[in-house]
Amino acid sequence: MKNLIEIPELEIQHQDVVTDILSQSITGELIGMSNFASLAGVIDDVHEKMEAVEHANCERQHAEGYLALCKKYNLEPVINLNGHYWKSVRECFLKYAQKKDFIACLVIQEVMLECFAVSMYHDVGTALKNEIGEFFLTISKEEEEHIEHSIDILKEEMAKDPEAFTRKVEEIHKDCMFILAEWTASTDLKGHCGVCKGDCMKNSLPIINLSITSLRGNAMNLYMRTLNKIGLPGQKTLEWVINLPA
Amino acid sequence: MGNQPPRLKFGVIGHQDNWKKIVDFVNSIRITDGNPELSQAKIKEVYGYFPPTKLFDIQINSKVSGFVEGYYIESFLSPDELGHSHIWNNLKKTREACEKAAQLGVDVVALGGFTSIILESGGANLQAIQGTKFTTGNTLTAALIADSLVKACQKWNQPLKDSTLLIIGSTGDIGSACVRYFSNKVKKILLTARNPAPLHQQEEQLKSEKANCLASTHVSELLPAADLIICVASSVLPENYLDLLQSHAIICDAGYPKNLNSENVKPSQKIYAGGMCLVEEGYCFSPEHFQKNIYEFPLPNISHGCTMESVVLALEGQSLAFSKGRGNINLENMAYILAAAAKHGIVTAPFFNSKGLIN
Repeated sequence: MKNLIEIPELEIQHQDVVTDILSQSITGELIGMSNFASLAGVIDDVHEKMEAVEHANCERQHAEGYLALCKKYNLEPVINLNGHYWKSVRECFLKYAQKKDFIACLVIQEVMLECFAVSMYHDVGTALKNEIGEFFLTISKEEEEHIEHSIDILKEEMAKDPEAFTRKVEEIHKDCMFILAEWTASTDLKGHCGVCKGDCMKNSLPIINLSITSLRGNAMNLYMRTLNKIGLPGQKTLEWVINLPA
Repeated sequence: MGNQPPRLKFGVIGHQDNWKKIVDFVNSIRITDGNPELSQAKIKEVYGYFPPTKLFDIQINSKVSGFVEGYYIESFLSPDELGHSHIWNNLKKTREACEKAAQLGVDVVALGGFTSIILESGGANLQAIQGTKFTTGNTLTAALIADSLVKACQKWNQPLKDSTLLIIGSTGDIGSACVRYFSNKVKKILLTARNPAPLHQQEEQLKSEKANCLASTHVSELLPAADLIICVASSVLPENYLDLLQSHAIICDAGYPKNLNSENVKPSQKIYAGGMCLVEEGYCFSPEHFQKNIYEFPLPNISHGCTMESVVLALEGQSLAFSKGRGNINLENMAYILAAAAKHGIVTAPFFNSKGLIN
């Protein structure tokens, strides 16, 4: 029987790199979903519990959106929550979730991971001038709202005890941002991520006019701006970022 | 006490002019935290992405009114990207640095080095953000250049009125101020700049004022005739420019960065850093280790004139966009800001270059 549904096509040379990007995005959203689900299970405050479930559902919807795009374009993503970097990020989050540290979880998920997601989705969306790109831009906007929401909460925490809060964020930064920095370095510092299909996709990004240097740089820029919006001293946060692996 | 001006906060927005300083700065931070040093190539991958950030507090001591405090905000413009092809990105970053200064509640801010382009290139709406005023600092720089050259002529026995003065970068904001200052004080004034249209307009204007002048876009044609040279734009100089100079030439290296080669000059030739000042009562940074890496000169207590313009305005209780636009610097303002600076012990720097003090 003739297939009546027309399958849109990506330019052939873009297929592998776009598949890898979608694989990372789906895996990342599922990690986010899992993180919020874990948080919902451990925190006591009813309102925070409900909010965590709502966030988990939001991340699930994003993952489903990316999966739907893969199906539509006949792409086969790799979803691997046990790849080195994603697994490390998840373990980092769980360390704080098990301590019922809602603020630390918020910093990891809504500041560190979301800054990378918002910035990288935006850059990919701008580079891919097609339906997939449009979708990345839409999700980037939605995730941006998550950052703004968390800034308000974290500003209040900062106001309570600026020095203690700064020390706390520094500790979380060293735990989580070191993983993200190793992952996004121009040369792999910890081997294959376990999500890209073949070789590391960093080498293929120029095919769609992107580079890991600009993706990482823009993400770090948004991260530093977000920390500054929370009220953390710029001189400190600059030193934190300078000390990251590169 | 009633006559004391209100104590204002000053700001300086700047950028680094070479990668060596940046590499030293970045690695000093990494070493302190026990991390391995990064190569210049690795640092280049991230440096330009840093958002404008307040790096340190500055205290400047005045000869007459205690001290004034301010901030240094690094714009993180890349030394490789200071050319015209990056102007839009640089304007964006400079604007962000200005917004940062306004957030910090600074009263008057000097835009150092290339960041002044935001006020020189039609950025009229950026003379102020809320209560924060911005100045290019070019008036004090021009005044210091002029003052230093007059003193250089006295020191090295080169009578100004008998001299031919070449101004390289004569149509820019600082260059044109120098032209106005010296056009009726020297025997002949030579003008050079990249863009022929404003250069010839400047030449016509001077000729209409009966000044003895000559303009050319080819600096090599003018160099052999010059006794004195003010170099505001060093990039137009040919590689062999030292061979073209007169044996007694005095060169004021007033560009940014100061990169004229002072290694191979003849003993009778003088090349000194222009537009610089000495803070007689001293200044300090907090945290102080930044000074070692990003603001060090062969002599102590030296600073760029442009940055000191905001300091002088703050010491004088004046929050205003003192230097703005291009070609607006007048002799009255140059005299005023130089005298106000001197009152507080901020004076024309002794003659020095990369090798140290010049005798």
